[in-house]
Parts: sequence; structure tokens; C-alpha cells
Amino acid sequence: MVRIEVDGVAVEALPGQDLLAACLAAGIYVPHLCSHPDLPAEGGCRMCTVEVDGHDRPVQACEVTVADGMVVRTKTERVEHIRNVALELMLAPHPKDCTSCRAYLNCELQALMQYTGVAHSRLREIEKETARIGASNSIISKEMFRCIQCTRCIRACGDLRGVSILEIRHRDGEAYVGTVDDLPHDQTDCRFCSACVEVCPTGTLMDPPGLFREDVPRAQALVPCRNGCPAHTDIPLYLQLAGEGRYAESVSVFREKLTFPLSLGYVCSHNCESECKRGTMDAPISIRAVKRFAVENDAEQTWRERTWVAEPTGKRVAVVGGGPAGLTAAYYLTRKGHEVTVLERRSRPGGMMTWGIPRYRLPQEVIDSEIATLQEIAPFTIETNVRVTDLAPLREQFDAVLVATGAQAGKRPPGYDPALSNVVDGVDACRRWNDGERPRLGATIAVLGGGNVAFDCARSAKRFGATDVHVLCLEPFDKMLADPEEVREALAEGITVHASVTLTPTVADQRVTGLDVTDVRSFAFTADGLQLDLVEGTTRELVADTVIVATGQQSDLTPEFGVELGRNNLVVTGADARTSVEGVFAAGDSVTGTSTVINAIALARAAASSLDRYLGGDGDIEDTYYERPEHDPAIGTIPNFSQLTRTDCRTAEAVATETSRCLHCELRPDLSTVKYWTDAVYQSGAQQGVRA
Amino acid sequence: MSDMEADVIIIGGGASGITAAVAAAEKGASVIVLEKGSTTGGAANMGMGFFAVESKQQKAQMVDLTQEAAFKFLMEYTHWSVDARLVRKYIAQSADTITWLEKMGVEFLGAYKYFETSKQTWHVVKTAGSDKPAERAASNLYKALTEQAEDLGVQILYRTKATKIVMDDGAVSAVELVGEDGVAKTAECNAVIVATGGFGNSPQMIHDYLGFEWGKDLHSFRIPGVDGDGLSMLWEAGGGHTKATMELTYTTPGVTDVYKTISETMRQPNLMVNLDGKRFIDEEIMNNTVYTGNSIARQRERVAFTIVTDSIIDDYRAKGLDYVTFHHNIKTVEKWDKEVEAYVSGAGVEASGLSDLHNDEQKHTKNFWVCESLKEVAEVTGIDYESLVATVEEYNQLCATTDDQFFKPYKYLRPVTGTTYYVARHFPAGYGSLGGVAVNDEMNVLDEAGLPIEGLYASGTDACGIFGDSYCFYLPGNTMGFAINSGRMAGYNANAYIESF
Amino acid sequence: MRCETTAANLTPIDVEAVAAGVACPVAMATTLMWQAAGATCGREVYCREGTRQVATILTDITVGKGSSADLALVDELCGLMADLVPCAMAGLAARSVLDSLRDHAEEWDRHVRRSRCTSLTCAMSFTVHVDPTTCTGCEECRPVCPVDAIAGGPDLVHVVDNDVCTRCGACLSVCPVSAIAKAGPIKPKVPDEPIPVGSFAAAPVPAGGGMRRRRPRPS
Repeated sequence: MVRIEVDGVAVEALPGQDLLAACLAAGIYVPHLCSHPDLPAEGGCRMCTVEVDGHDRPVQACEVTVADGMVVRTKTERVEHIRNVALELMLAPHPKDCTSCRAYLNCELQALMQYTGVAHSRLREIEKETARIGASNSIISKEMFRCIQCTRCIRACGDLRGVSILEIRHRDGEAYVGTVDDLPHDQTDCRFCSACVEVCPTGTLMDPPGLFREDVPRAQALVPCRNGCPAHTDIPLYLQLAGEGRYAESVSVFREKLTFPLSLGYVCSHNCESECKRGTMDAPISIRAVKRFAVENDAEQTWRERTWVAEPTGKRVAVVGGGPAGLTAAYYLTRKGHEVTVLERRSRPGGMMTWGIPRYRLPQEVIDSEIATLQEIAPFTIETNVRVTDLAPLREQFDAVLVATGAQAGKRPPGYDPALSNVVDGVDACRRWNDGERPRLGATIAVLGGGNVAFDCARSAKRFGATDVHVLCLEPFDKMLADPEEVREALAEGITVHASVTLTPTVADQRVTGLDVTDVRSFAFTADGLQLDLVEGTTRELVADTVIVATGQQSDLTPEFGVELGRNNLVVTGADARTSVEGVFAAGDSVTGTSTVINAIALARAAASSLDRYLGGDGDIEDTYYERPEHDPAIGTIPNFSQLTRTDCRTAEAVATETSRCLHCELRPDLSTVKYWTDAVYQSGAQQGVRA
Repeated sequence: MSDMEADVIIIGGGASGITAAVAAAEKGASVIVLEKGSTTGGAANMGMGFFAVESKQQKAQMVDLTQEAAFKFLMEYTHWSVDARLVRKYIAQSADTITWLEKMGVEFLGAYKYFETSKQTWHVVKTAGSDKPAERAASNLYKALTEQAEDLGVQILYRTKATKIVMDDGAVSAVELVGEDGVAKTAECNAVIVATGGFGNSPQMIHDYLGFEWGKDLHSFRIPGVDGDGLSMLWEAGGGHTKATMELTYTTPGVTDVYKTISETMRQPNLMVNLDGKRFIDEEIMNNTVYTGNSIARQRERVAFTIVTDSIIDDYRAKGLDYVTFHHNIKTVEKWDKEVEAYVSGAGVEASGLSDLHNDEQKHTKNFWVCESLKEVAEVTGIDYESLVATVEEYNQLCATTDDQFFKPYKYLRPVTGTTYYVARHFPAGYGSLGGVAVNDEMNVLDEAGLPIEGLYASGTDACGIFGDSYCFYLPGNTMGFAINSGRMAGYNANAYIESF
Repeated sequence: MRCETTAANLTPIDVEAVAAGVACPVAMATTLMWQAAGATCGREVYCREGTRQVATILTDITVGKGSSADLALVDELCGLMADLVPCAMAGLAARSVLDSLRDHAEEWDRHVRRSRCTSLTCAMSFTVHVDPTTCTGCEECRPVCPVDAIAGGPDLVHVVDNDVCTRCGACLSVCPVSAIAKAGPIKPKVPDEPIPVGSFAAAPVPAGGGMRRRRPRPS
């Protein structure tokens, strides 16, 4: 320990520590601007000027290393003069439009004006010709006229990240901060990590509005892929490992959160990719394909060595429904030592993976092998062809029950009577077709709906020989719920998509003989029902041999089942996935309505944890299959980084390229947050110090 | 035979003369200034600033006085008895004169009021290294004008006295003068501007033209050199007479400007009576020194008395004074006891700063007393005792209710009660004379018939007839404002006269 | 922070030329400080912003937009810069200005308070005039004027419109008979409009040879 005295207060500092850091750590605020805890000292702003006994001139605290017996004064008239004039000088070229700056109240410069009491009226306002060089892009919003040239961004980009695309430049007799050769970021080696944004003390470098979600904690929102994944899979890490060819380690990372990683590798709705920041530049990282490649190329499956199954608890759990939610819950509950029986109504488990998603998208072998893997590790029982219509007996036989019955029933709009002979529900059609039925649908097929089920039906129909397949939906094209990839492929297969239309069926002889299709300008759901703004004169008739209704599903549970149901017969759950009945929990589509596999897994994990606690366990189902090394902040450069296009991830090289496109958002929360003079640490710090 | 020559000769290098010199030279005239003293600026060196309307300072300070409002105000104040054309030109030029002087290096602190209800027209000159109004600040202004004049080639002859304006065929042709060497000379010229500052230092002219006996019933400033010689030369050259006035104020001889706390305290709006022991004024107007001077001047023996008591002093100790004038900068009575003791003990009398022009008796006359009773007050002052007692009793009743005699606001109604009475005697005072020679709106001197005399101009105090019978204190800075602006006009017009040849 | 920038490319204030009255210390200080502002490495605030701020103030002074408060401000800023800047370059610039403020105090004061410049270098201190008795009406000067401020024509005495003139000085150097000159506070008598060469009536020589003379009065 090094002992120094600051403004009469005895302070203990670490050997080798700089004086500024020592003061701040001791709760003694010394103003500072160019200094940042994660960056090398610059000593360019003079804000941390202090007087040290034995030095004839004031020094900058960030540049001085503490030494035993050092006597420091931080508030003399002389240092305040130096600081205040330095701040005035920085403010002279700085715009006075604080109220139109997004950094307002989150600006270190503004806080320093408060602290010092400095304004800028006695100096000349300075206008610099170079102040507007530097264009914004989709990742970094640049208002360079606000720059005070503290060089934090330059040091973050160079010293910290090893990228070095920012520098002090000179033009027309002015010095300014800019990119190498004043190039747009995408023509430099910029990795778009946004470290420059994170360390900028002013509103010069900012995240564009709306780039990050504001309804979750900031550190979470800063990594959009991980935050966007319902299961919060550690995406940046497994991408990096996959890119390095370390597939077993990559799989280990997502195995910590996922029970059906390969299936997800085929069909995941990949919200992570929708959230991926690279998507605002060109295209998101192909996260799903990387995952699939990693699973398919993981020969070692080292994660299995690190998994565990707890001692039996003697508690018995029934899981009603053998879809992704039920099987996931069964897997974790079994590993927590409970004896689990899955009751599946159909002949095979897998739920909508097996009975909803067409085989061309997700082969049955993939599902079967993943279920087998789960059962290998956690041997739970699956009883098929067991339909549970009443919970009461189960509650007698089991200590707890988890309801995961899914959303099985098709939901038809008005006008499509169930008795109509050429109208089928999409969900039923998918189920029958996956069961091997080869339907005779006719040549012309109309599919109502704009979600994945509608496209599954349409593309399946095409495969069954229909020549003329139409998908019709109310939503505009860019607002359709289906995965854009599905839509793209459907169009490639020759399917016609009619977006922004409404339909009126003509019924004769228990058949829909025709559909009047009318364009819709806009629509809204109001208290009076659906309101349509029709485009007059656009009505035309579509004559279809078969009409497939895929406008949504609902739970097929009935009140007799024994738990409280809500809208669309969905199970009402409270906190911790509990239903209205003691000891009965619920997860998956039966709670949320039609959703995704990844969502079902995420909910089932939460429900399993909750149920385990109910049964007396600790609820801890977290796995660590891969020990995290510390992040290396130095990401360096990658040739043509901005020009790297999204790959198909079919080869190791393609995966390596694809993962190298990552912006490494995960590094940003590692950067320290600068505390302002108002911080409680400084407000109470001086009192905590020992008077010398 | 001429000893020297110039287009324009200016008699007097005070505020108006030096300004006239710069103005004439700026337009290309050759100029000689004859100044009796050893420096320029004259009486105006004691000032702080001057009048302008719609200046950039006033705009910056959101002063809403317009040229129209100022013009109408002054014309109402003077009952249209003054030259409206001249007033209009003066007001119109006033703001530009501020800018004109700034270009010569004069800096202004801003526009100020002189007292609470005055207009904000007083542009106080900034002094080096200070951002606060300072007494005698205007001397900076005369330094700048003098430097400007020298840069423009104006020849200023110091310690040189003009003795006669020589006329030739109805037009000015030369000035006779006595140089620094005591030798009489003649300087030929085409125009003369007389700007000698009136007759404030001439008891004889004060007696003859104003009707006061200086040192007895008038204690006005007597700036050395302001002897009325310019007016005499003008009249001799044929200039017409106009009624001269004085910018009256009031003073407590031997106290004012020496015992500043006593002086300021005794000028607060408390009971004022005359020798008859009667009130004659709404004391609220005591911050308008012209009105107060006028009012005192019409009392018996031209004297008046203010009376305060220890309880009133205590109130001032707690709250500070009612009226604060920043040029005197006395805001509290913290030095009261010390000053009273010094005055009463007589320790300060010899150093009282009274003018050498006061005679020995006047110098030793007391004008401030500390008394233990109203009886004693009456004895030392000569105020009628019984009347005084009645007035104090009546005044104290007003203080408890309302002043339905002169309508002084309640906040200034402090009863005369307590154990010690402090009394000050006030006399009319003044800053100097105003006017005396007839001019038109081009500052061209008029003869007795009202016709202009070729080449003869007068400006500043010698020609200042725009205030009527009383100086207009509501538009502060007017004496110097008129001196500078009329000098500038005279300079331009004299040059234009010559250019017309 | 240490910085190796040297003062090699700065033009120092020529104190001898100033002493001789042929150069203006304010103008030279302004040039010097702009050179420093252009040479800064940009990393240190007093060097980067201080030089620019001082140069901006000095420029204002040379065009008549200074005030007496500016001198104290320049002194304060240069004092801090001389103490703090991490390189020889900005340090020299600051110390040079401080020295000049002290050694040429009167000239600085004339600049800020009265817009005067002894050597008639600074634009606010002079006007430009064509001597009507020397001008031959050759028209050499008119095309070089960037703002078209010179009126005239063949065999006409040229006249500069000083309200338009930017004081760039271009015309002074091209006049083959050196008829164009700067004038300080005292302006020469020149015609308002171009007049034929040779028609300008020269002023009479005043009595005693001095400049104060009385114009003849018509009899």
C-alpha cells in the first residue's frame, strides 16, 4: 500500500496506481475528461490538474504515479484556474444546442460545467471548417461538431481494440478527430464494436436512436442477439468458437440453454438474427446455420462429460404433452432427480416439431435423435397415445403435473363452416400429411393466413402436386408473420402470395366455390371488430379446389380439463408458471398460443425450475459446459470486414467467414462506466477518508 | 497681421469644445482649440456619463424609452418654451454619438438611472480595470477625444485665453488671444465655436443673472475657469441674450462630500421643515435634487432643515438607507457614529473641504447639530419652536395613519420620536449656469434680432437653453449630453459653413 | 504529455521592424498564432484550442473588433499556455505574444481601444486613396481590385470607394506612378467622383507651411 495525502485526507493507494485513479477510488472526486479507466492516460484535457508538493508546476493526476508520502491539493485557486480555462477553451468551439443533443443529462462535459461553474461567454465562439467531416452510419451516429477532441475514441479504437481507424487529422490548419483518410467507416477496418461510442463523453458518437431496446437493462440490450434469444443463449461466444473450428466447445455453450439444438438449427425462428446489429449494415450473422453446422460437426460432444443428473428425490411428475416444451421440462426435471412420465396423445413425441413442421424442413430423424439424446442423459418415460382430458386422476398419482399440450386447434374466421367439404384447417392438414397421408387437393389451392403454418401448407401442397398455390393474408407483405426465408423459398417454388387482401367466400353445395379477393389499404382491430379500408374496384374471384385455413391456432383444452383457461382456451398461469391448481404448472403454446420451438424451450426451462422448487429442490437447472475465458478486448482488424457477405455455412471455411462478420457486441458491457461528480461515491467519499 | 490661422477656432477645450474640434476636423477642417487650462475636458471631468436615447446599450438592457417619448417628455417638462427643432436634433443624434465615441476607444458600462423614477438615459463611461460606475469616470472620455483630435491634426493651445472675437463685415474673421507666453496674438479663421462652460465661477454674474448671493444663499460648484468670459465675448460680438438658469441642487455646506454618511443620511426622505417650522415638500422627491433645490430656494432665507432621531437611525442600521446613489456609494449607516463624533467635536472642520471661495465665517458655520430636545433644535437652528413642536406632533400622527398633507408614501413615514435629534441645514446649490446666448438649431449664434451671425457658433453650457427654468433630472446625463452633442453639431455645421464657400 | 513539435516553422515577431515603425506587432502576433494553431498536434487543449482562441481574438483586434478586455484575456490565455503547453512550438508562440503585450503595450492599446495601427498594417486603421494630382488615369489598378471598389476610366482620376474597399492593398503595388496610398485618421482631399486628369485644384500652401490653414473666404 502507498500512503498519500489528498486535500488533508489520508488515502491509501495501490503501488503503481495513477494519482487520479487513487483519488477516485478513495471517493475524492477530481474532475477529468480525457481519462477513462479502461484507456491509457492521454493528459490532454487538463481537467485533472492538481498540485503536488515538490512540483513547482501543477501536474495532471492521470499522468502521475502515486508515491509514499505524496501531498496533493486538488482544489487550489491555481488548479481551478487551469481547469476552468481549459473547459472554457473546449466549450468555445462546442455547440450551444445542448437541449437538442441526445446526450443531454448524460454528458460528461455538461456535468463538468455544473461542477466547475464554467460557461463560455468571455471567449470567442470558434467555428471549425472540419467540424462536419464524418458521416453517420447505421451503427454509429456521428455529430462531429460536438467533438471536444478528448481522443478517448481514438484510444479505444487503437489501444484497446487494436483496430486503429480513428486518429487526429489535420486539414485547413485545423486538428480534428476523424477516420483514416476521412473514409466512411465501412471503407475502413472498422469492426463496428462501438467502443468509441461507449467511451465518448459527449453526444458526438452515439448509438442511433432505436438501435437498442430500452425496455431491458442496458448491459443486456447492448448484446442484441443474446437478449433477443428467448433462452438467452450465449450467441457471441458460440459463434466465435464455431468460427475457430472448436465445434464441441461451441455446442457446449448452446447446450447449456437448449434441448433441441439441431432441430433449432433447422427451424429456429432465430429472433437473434432479427436483432443482430450487423443486419442494419448488410445482413445479420447466419446464427442458426452456424449452430446447425456446429452440432453436425461436433464429433466429441464433450458437453455430455460435464452434464449431471441428481440423486432421485422420490417425487413423481407427470408431463402432459410430448412436444418441445414437455420434453424439455421432462429432461430438466429428470436431471433434478424426479421421476417423470410424459403423456403424449399421439403415436410419437415431438409435438409440433413432429406433427406440424413439414418433413422437408425438419427431418423426423433429427427430432428422434435429439429426443433420444435427452432420454439417454435423463431417462424419463414417454407414454404415447395417452390423451389426458381430466387432470384429477394425475394429481392423485403424481406429486406435480406440467401441462404442455400446445395449441392444437385451428382457428377459422367467420364464414368458413367446419362442415364445408373442401375447407381444411392448416394445423390438421400438416398433422395428417406428416402422418403419411397423401391428400388429393386438386390443382388450385388457396391458403388463408400469413404465418409459418400457412407457408408450410402451401409449400407442402405444391409438393403434393398442386399446380396453382395461393397464399392470401390481410397483412401487408413486409408485415407477414412467416419467416422471411419461408416466404422467399415459397415464392421461388412458384407460390403466389397475395398480401393486404380480404376474402369473401362463395358457398354452394357445402363447398367454397369461389373467393372474392379485394385489396385492403389498411385495417385495424377496434372494439367493434375488424375495420377494413378497402380499395374499391379491386375485387376479383379466385376459384380454388381446396381452401386451407391457417389463420391461427388455439388450445383445445376444455374446462373439464381442470385448470383455469383464458382467451383461446389458453392456460392461465401466474408467476413461476403456476396454474390455478396447486401443483399444476404449464408451459409452451398451451400458455402462449402458437409460438416457436425456442420459446417453448425457454418457457419449459423456467417452468421446470419453478416446479423443482415446488417439489423442494433448489430450482437450479443451469449448466456450465464451457468455462468462459476472459474476453480479449483486442479484436484487431479483418480484411474487408464490412464487405464480408453472409455465407451459407455449409463448410468450415464458410462458418469461419460468417462468424468473423460478428461485431462483438458482447465486449461493450465490459467497458467501465464513468462516474460523474454527482455520484454517491464522491458525495460520501470525503467523509469516509481519514483526516490526516 | 495674423499670427496663425485655421478654418475653425474653438474657444474652450471642455466637453463641448473638444468634441466640436474632433467633429470639424473629421470633416476636413483645420482646427485650433484655445484652452485656458492645462488639459481638456473642463468641468465635464467631474462627470460620469451622459444622455442618449435608443443606444445599443439601452437596447441590450431592454430600456423601452423611445426618441419620441424622450422628446415629448422634455417638451412637456419645458412647456414647449424651448427650441423644439434643437431638442429633436439632439435626441436624434444622441445614440449615434455613443457609437461614434466607442470608435475612438471610449467604453461604456451601460445605461443607468440617476434615481428611482428617472429614465435610464445616463451612459456611464467605463474606467480602466473596473466594471463599476466610478465618480469622475468621464475623464476617460476626454482623453479619448483629445487623442482623436490630435490624430486628426487639431492644434490645442493650452494655457491660452481668448479675449475677443473679431468680426469683419458681419462675419467672424479672427480671434484675439493671449498665449501661454503672455503675448497677445491674433488668429485668423472663418468660424468660431464658443464653448466656455457658462459662468458658474462668477459670483458677480450669478448675482446679476440668477439673483443669488454666492456663499450665502447659494453654494454651487465653482469650477475654476468657468468665468463667463465666453458669454461676454459672444454678447460683445453681437450675440443675443437669453435667460440663464442654474441646474439647482441642494447641499449641507461643510458636510456634503466630506461627511458622506451624515450627508446621505440627512438627505433621506424624512421630515423637512423651513425656518417657520413648517413642512413644504413631499420629502419623497428629495432624490430629485433639482426639485428639492427649487423648493428650498423659495423658502425664507433659502434654507431648510431635515430632522431625524436615534430611532430612525436605528431603523437605518437594521435595514440600510432608503435612497442609495451609486456614485456616492453610501448604502448603510455603519460610519454614522464615527462621523457624527468627528463633526461635533470639530475635529474635521479645518479639513472640511469647503471651498477656499467661502469666507472664514462661512467656513466655520455649523450646518449639522445633535440635540437632546426640540427646544434645543429650535435654539441652534432658529426654527420657530412652537410651530416646530406642532409640526412634529402632526407629522407623527401622519406617520401612524397616512400623509394626507403631501402624500408621501407610507414606507417613508418614520415618526420623529426618540431621545436624540439630528438636524441638518440645507441650502440651494448647483452645478453651474445654463445658457445665456441665443442660438438656432444649428448652434449658430443669433443676434438680438434673432438672425444668425455668419461663422459664429456656440455650444455646450453657454448655449444650453433646452431645459427651460429647471434642469430635467428625469433624463439624467443631459448637461454633458447636450455639451457633447451640441459641440458635435457645431463642429459639423461650422465645417459645412466653410465648405459652402 | 510530451510533444516534440518544434517552433521551426513559426515566423517570430520582428521586434526591430516594430521598433522602426514599419511593422505591426499585433499583425505579426496574429500571423504567428495562426501558424501555431495550424501546427498543433491537436492532443492538448491549451495548445489546440488556446492557439486558435488567441488567434481568433487577435484577428478581431486587427479588424477593429477588439476591446480593452481582450488584452487581459490574451494575456491570461498566453500566460497559461506558456506554462502548460507540452511542446516548444505553442510555448514560443505564447511567450512571443506575452513579450509583445509588455514591450508594445501602447501599440496594442491603440489597436483595441482606438482602431489605430501605427504602421497602417491592420485593415481597420486606414483608408486607401488615389492622389488626384499624381494619377494618370492609366487604369492599371482597376482590374486588380477584387471587389471593384475603384471608379475611373481612361484619362480620369481614379477614386476608391472606401466603403467597398477591403484594404487588401493589391492596387497599391500595381500603380506605375505610386499615386495610391494608405491614409490614417487625416484623409487627403480627393474628388468624390472621377474627374479628368489635371483638373483637380490643389489646395493652397498654408501660411507658415503648417497644415492648419484657413480656406480663403470669397469676398
